[in-house]
Amino acid sequence: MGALTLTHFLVLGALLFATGVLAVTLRRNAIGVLIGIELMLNACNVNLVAFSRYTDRIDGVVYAIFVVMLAAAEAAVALAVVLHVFHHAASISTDDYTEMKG
Amino acid sequence: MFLPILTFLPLAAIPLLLLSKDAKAQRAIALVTTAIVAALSIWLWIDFDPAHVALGTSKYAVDSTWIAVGQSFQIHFAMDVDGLSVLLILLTGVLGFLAAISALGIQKNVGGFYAMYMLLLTGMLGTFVAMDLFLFYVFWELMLLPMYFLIGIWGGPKREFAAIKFFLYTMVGSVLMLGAFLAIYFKLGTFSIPAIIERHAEIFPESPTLRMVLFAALFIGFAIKVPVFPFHTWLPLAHVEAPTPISVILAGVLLKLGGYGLMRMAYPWFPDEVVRAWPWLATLAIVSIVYGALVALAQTDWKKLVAYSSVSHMGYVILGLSALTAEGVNGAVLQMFSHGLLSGMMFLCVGVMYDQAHHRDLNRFGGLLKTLPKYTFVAMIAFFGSLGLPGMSGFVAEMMVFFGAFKSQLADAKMFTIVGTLGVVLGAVYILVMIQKVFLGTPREKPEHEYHDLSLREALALVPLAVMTLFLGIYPRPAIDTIEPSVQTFVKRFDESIRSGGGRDVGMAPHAPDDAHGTEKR
Amino acid sequence: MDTGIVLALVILAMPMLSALLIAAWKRVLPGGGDVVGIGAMGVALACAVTLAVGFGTFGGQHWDFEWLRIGDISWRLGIQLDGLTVALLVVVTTVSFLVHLFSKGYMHGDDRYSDFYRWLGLFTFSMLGLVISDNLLTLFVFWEVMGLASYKLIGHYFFKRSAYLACKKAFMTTRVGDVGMFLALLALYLYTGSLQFSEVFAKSALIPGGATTWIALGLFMGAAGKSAQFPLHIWLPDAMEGPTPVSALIHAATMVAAGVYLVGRMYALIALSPVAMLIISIIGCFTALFAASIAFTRTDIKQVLAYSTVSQLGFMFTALGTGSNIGWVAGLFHLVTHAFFKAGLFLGSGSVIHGCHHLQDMTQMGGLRKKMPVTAATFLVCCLSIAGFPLTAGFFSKDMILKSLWMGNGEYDAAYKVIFVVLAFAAFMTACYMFRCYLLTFEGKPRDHHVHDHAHESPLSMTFGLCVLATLGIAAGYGWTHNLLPSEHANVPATHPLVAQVASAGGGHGEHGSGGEHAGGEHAGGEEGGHDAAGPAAAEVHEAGPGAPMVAFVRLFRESDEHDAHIEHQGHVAALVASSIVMSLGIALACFWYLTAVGARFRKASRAAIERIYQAAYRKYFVDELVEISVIKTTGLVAALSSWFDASVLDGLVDGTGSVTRKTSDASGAADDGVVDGAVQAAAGVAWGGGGILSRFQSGRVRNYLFGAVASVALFALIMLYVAGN
Repeated sequence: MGALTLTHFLVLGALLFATGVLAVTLRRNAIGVLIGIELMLNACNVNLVAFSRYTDRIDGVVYAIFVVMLAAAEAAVALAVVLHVFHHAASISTDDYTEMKG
Repeated sequence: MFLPILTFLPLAAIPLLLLSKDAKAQRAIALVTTAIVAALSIWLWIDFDPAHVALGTSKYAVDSTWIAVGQSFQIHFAMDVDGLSVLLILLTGVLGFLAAISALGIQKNVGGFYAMYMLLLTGMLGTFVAMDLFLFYVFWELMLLPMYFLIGIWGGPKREFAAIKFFLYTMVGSVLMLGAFLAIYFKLGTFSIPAIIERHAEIFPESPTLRMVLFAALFIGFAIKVPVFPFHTWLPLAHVEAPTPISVILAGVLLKLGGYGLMRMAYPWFPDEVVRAWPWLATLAIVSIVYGALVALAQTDWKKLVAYSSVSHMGYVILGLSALTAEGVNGAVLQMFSHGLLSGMMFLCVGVMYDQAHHRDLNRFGGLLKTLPKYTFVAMIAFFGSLGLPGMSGFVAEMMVFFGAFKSQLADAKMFTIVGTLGVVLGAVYILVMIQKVFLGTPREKPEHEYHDLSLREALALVPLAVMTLFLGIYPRPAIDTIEPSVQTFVKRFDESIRSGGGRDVGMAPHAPDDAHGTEKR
Repeated sequence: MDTGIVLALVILAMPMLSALLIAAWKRVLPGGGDVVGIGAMGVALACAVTLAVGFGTFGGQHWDFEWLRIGDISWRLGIQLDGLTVALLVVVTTVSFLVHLFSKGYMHGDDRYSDFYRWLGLFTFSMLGLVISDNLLTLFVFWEVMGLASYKLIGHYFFKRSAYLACKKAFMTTRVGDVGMFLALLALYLYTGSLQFSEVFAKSALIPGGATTWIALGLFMGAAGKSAQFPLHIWLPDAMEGPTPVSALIHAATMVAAGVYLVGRMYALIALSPVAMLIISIIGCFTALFAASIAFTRTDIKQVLAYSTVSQLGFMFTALGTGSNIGWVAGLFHLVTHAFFKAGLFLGSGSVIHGCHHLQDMTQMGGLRKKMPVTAATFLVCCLSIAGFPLTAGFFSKDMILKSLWMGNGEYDAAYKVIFVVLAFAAFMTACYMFRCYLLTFEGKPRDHHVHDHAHESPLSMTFGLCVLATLGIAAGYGWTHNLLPSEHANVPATHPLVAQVASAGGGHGEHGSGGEHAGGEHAGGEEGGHDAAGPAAAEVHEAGPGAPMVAFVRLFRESDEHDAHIEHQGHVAALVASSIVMSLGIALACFWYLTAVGARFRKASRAAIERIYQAAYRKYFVDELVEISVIKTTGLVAALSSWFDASVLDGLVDGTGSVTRKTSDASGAADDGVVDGAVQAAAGVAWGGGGILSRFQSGRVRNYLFGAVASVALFALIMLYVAGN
């Protein structure tokens, strides 16, 4: 096995991102959608940290910390919204959230 | 300020009418207003000096700028009178008052009725005094609205149709008139009637065809009102469906507006055209006379018969007017006045019986001479007067028309007059047949309620008319003296046209004046 | 204003006053107003007689005033008093007074007694006004008013169908004649600028030749209408529907006389046209014969008298149609005498009718002389007068008529001689049928005993009039014509105030002399040097000034005085012989036929011999039916046609424009709805459809939205890469 290059991390990030997209688009479960969103966010983090490691610049790490912070806030808000919607629709399957049909 | 006051006084009464509470007060207001108008018109007639024929300069003249748009568009509020208008205003005032008396019998919505009536009165008076074309047209149109409502609301079974037909037919005439007015305005630049009369030679002298077209438009516009065959078909329906007082006003005054318009505007503005068109005018007049009488003979509805008799009588007006002689025109104007009185009487008489019998079928009456002697006496005056019996104003008028037409220098005047005298015979036929059916013989059917003789209200409306027609029949001077100077002025305008045969030889030139007629002192 | 004029105005005012008083106060006046009427007429009569007796002073007085002024032309109306006027004033007031008196008895108990007197008053007023007029306008006015009064009087029993049809017929027939008269007036006004007699005659030279004939015929047409000449005679027999006093007044003495008066008055003008004169004579003669033949077939006593009147009027016109001086006198003389004896006959028949309790059919009468002696006697006297028995008034007037015909006028003498013969025959018939009438009524055996038994003589109010009229039927023949009408004899000084010379010289009237004659008073006979042979006399047109009294008219004789006298004597003899023969024959034949049994058989045989003619005469020669079809029904048809035309065609056109307009506006509306609005709707449709499609994107499904979001980002990223790559 050779040494770990940037490419390995980018591929990892891409795989994670793709998984996240699939999760968001294909999952019916609202929490699953949120997990997908988290996966996408964390994929971005991986990319950011990898670029920071392999270019000797600290910018990527700083961005990653911001992203983590925003992801946390966003997760909290999203979970709160899902909770409210769950109270209203008594289900966490997104197929049941059809009020906005027009 | 006299003329505007006279004209707008009825208008001022409208708010009073609409504000007052009960029918009694409304009737009182109406009677008082029409009485004042009548008194004013009589005063005007007494006070006016007929020798003053120049329009726009008499002591009654009013002239102020009304709607002015820069230099080019000047509409004046101009009013004035001459002998002709004074006589017709007198007729309007008197008939307005007497018809208002007759209208005391109206029961439904008295205030509205009299309000419309006042509007109509203003319109009529205004038309006779207006000296500005625009103002004239305003007043002319002003009359249509109240007539529409008066016929359409207080009329007989087919009143809506009659009202619409009357309105639209008259409107067509008004449109033609307006077209001519505008054409003249754009050529001459003024709306003032006296000015146009003076400058009539400037109206499109380069195009006689256009002049003839304008004359025809004006003539038709006024002829519809007169009415002249074949523009008369609105009249029978309107008369039959209108309530009695409105029939009186319609026949008594409104028809005269046509004659007035011809005399004031159409003829003086286009003298050559009148001379050239004489054969047509005379033919239309004579057809009106004869045809009107014939159709009257065939009627079974009393009111329709009287309506057609109006067509026949107004034919005399056109004949006399178009003959362009002093006797003829005097006769025509007198016939207008006399016909106002007589047809007013006739419609009132018909109305009296209609109010009691609720039908107008000639074949169902009979023997009224026996049961209603007073009514018959008054009615006989009306009907024999209409027939042209000497001793009443109708004869004097018809006689003068015939004398004037026979004497006329226009082409074939004698032949036209001779044919016109048929009207003397035919006029007697339908009147006598009608009298026989209604008053003579025995009653053909028993009426539901016994007929009662003339009531006070009916007599008050009828008797003054009878007195006037008898008086004028014996002594027509008061009327003739009023109009004579205006008539002379009118006739003199045509001297040159008659001499030149209408400005152009088109094969209708009149005979050169005979030397044997040296007696015609002009 | 001269005394004579004042008297004339009083005469005129009296009947009008009576009419007005009766109309206003009929309930309070004594006797319902008959006293007022009779009294008023009495006063009028007295005044008229005063005028006649004092004609020397009153004759020729004249008064006028300006009635109207048109520019320079002054229309003047007034009164004139010449011989003709005064003569007729006396006649009219006399007959009217007697009729008023007679009606008191005859109309007693009638429903509308007062109304009857009222209309009698108005009628008399208008007739009097007619004769004192100095101009054609008031003449025409009174002419027509008379027509109205006659209409009312004939239609007195207006509830009867025959009565109201008769009064309408009378009015219409006279009106047709009036049209002709009116046209003549129009022409006269045109050519002479005036309607006063004096003016018209003074300026008659200004009338073109052809027009004169038309004017004359027009005037005659009016006269023929009023005086019941063929073919306008049809109203007179029907007019018998009116009460008998009406028939006596109107249809014997006055209204029918108005036509004769008109021709007499306008003589100077009419005589200028020999053609017109001949036509007048021919029609008059024809009417005389025609009506006489019908009179034979009538059984209603009033009808006989009616046709007799028509016939006698024909006599008058025949005389007037000669165009000569003597013809003028003869016609008007006969007018006066006829007024008296015909009124007497009518009132006599009224007396009979009254006495037999409203029976008019002679076939049920007979032998009434014993029961009604006064009536019979007066009736006989009047019959003798009308037949022309010597020494009666009728004799003199008829004689003069025949004489004038024989004398001719120098123009169509031969024609007039033929007319002489025909008229003589008519006179024969007159004598015959009048005596038939008398004999059937009063002589012989009573045919209906019930009637005969109940017959009684009439009261004094009625018989008084009969006696007066019978007397006048004799006395009226003597002497007055010389005073009031110019006679055919000359020798009258020229200094009489009535002399007004009007010459109608001027080209074209070659053979007309320009001598002047005067109506009224004596005439300047000798100085007829005024009339010449050929060629106009001096072009002396003596203008009669506006105030000049009456007519001077033209003598048409062209011969000299001696020739005149010879012809005159000849005519005198011829007339005397002829009239005596026909009168005697007529009376004899009537007596033979109706008094003897032999005669009765003979009568029936002769009637059978001319059965066809008799039947035609009995049916009045179908003139009424002809008029009915050609005039009345045709007018009715034309009227109905005109009415249909007006309602369907003319009005249809008007209403048609209305429906065309409506259809046009319907089409407009459809176009508006379909096309214009359609475009708007389509636009909306597109927007709606588009919206429909687009809304499918809003599925409400969160996954789709997320997928959309991701897809768009991916797309965007690809585009960015692609752009950045380039």
